[in-house]
Amino acid sequence: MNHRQRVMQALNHRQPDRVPLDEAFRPEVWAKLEQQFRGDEELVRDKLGVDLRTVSIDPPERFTKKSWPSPSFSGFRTVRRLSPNLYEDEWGIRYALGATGRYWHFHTHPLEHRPLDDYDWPDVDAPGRFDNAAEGVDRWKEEYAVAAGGDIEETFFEQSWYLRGFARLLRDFYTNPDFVHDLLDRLQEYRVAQARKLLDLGVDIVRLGDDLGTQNTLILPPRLWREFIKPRLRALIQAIKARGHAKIFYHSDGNIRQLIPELLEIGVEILNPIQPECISPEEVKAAFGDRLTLHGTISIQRTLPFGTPSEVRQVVLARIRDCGSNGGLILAPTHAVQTDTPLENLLTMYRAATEHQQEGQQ
Amino acid sequence: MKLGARSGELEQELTSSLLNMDMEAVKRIVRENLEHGGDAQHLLSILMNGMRMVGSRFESQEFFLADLIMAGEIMKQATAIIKPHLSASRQTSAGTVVLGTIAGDLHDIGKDIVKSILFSEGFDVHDLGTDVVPARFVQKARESGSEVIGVSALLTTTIPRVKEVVDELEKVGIRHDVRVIIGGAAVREKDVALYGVDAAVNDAIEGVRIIKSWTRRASTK
Repeated sequence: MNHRQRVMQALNHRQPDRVPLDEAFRPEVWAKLEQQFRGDEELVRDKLGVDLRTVSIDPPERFTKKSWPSPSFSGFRTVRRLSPNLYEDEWGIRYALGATGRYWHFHTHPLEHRPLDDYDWPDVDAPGRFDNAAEGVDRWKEEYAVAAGGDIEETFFEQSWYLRGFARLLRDFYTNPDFVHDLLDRLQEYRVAQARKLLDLGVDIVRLGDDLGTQNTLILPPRLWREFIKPRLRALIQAIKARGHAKIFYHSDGNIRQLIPELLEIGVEILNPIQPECISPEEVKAAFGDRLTLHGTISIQRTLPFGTPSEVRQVVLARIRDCGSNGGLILAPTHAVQTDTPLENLLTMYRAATEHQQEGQQ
Repeated sequence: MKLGARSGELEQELTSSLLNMDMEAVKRIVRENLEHGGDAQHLLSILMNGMRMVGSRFESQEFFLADLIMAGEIMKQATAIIKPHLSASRQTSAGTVVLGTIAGDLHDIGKDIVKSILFSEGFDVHDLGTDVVPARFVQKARESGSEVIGVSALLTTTIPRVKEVVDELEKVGIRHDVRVIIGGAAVREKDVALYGVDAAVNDAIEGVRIIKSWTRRASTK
């Protein structure tokens, strides 16, 4: 069973030979792993047994030519440098780096004061946007399951508040709903166009998402999510399914337990990251495991930074036992692993998973 | 709201407008009431009580973060209308708190929840924003005479920097006058001993409870 078959088996809710694995690391952690294995990122993925590869939608050639590659952005967005500590992405969203130079914060939201009609949307068809993604699909498709992400993973709510400002957008939901509908309509059109391009490349998984949860509860009241976000997410998923066979991955940090039945109803098939300190992976598996694949589940807030290697191993094996029957589980850290995580814990996580052959393989 | 409307009706209309997140209605009721000689302190009390209801509905997960932020904005705008009508002696505060997200960390949702609830409880809150260097917390606490510093940190890598806040308080000789609480999803009980803070919490509402207990104690000294 190769990597691709293993992932597909799990996604189709059949028992793979072992649990499939994915990754997410801070650039500094990547550097440690590259040193450990004396090779590049691809060698690290191979050594760890990572079964998926992720390609990304890029800004177009004309933007990247002028951009300033910044590892501090952790692969989040390609930006160009405007001044020593001011960066801008192709949407016109500006960022500044924080005191440690490792994490950025928002500096300017382009729609905070500008009318929507005056805003120039990025051009989906601009040359160079899908070149890396196409190359990645060609390179990996035989051996690995290929997922596609990029800014499409901040699908509706997140991209909207990046453009408008967080508190401002939240207020708009109550005081200026027409604006929010208008913004989301335009974003939906853009997302559908992006997704169609990805499907034409032949990706296996489209990564959508919006951080909708805090640690304990939801950011938006469910009634607002249902009015503003859900119908557009449903339409986007329908457009994806009408074009090809890609599986629908959905990311949201935090506790979004309340929304899971409705995410399933509109076509979500893989849910990430299922932070165990926010939602019980075991409960999610028991309630929805026949239809939903759990992706993530290994805590970067508890297990990986603070556990002992032995505890990490126990958590991994317990998760496989409790959530891995009949496939439907892809193990990964619940977010980018931070610099304080002992390397031994990380290696133990992957070693424990790759060494554990699952019972009942079909 | 008609002139002479009974207090009960005013309270009901104002509270329900706040709970329905109807900013324009709240502002209109407040303005009309003041224009007709209404009692500014009474209006403020009704709104503060309404904000407590918002806080308790947030705690019971009937309300969500967006509701909390919207209600906080309504309260802010209504207070700006009411304040000029309050006599100086009646502008009482439940306490003064300095809040911020520690240097290296840019997450602010938890901090903003705490800020909204403290504001609704009548605290004066000095929000330093995100990525705040430890000495700045202490400087602001001295300037404002705050009795509490609330440090927010989501990233496990930034939590240890709260010790620098405690060390700075020691250095400038006001450690005994200022209590320090750290909050964040990855904060652990043992961080109290590890970093010398007075409390460590994962939950914003629990954090506010602790701060209230401290300021109550402080006010009875």
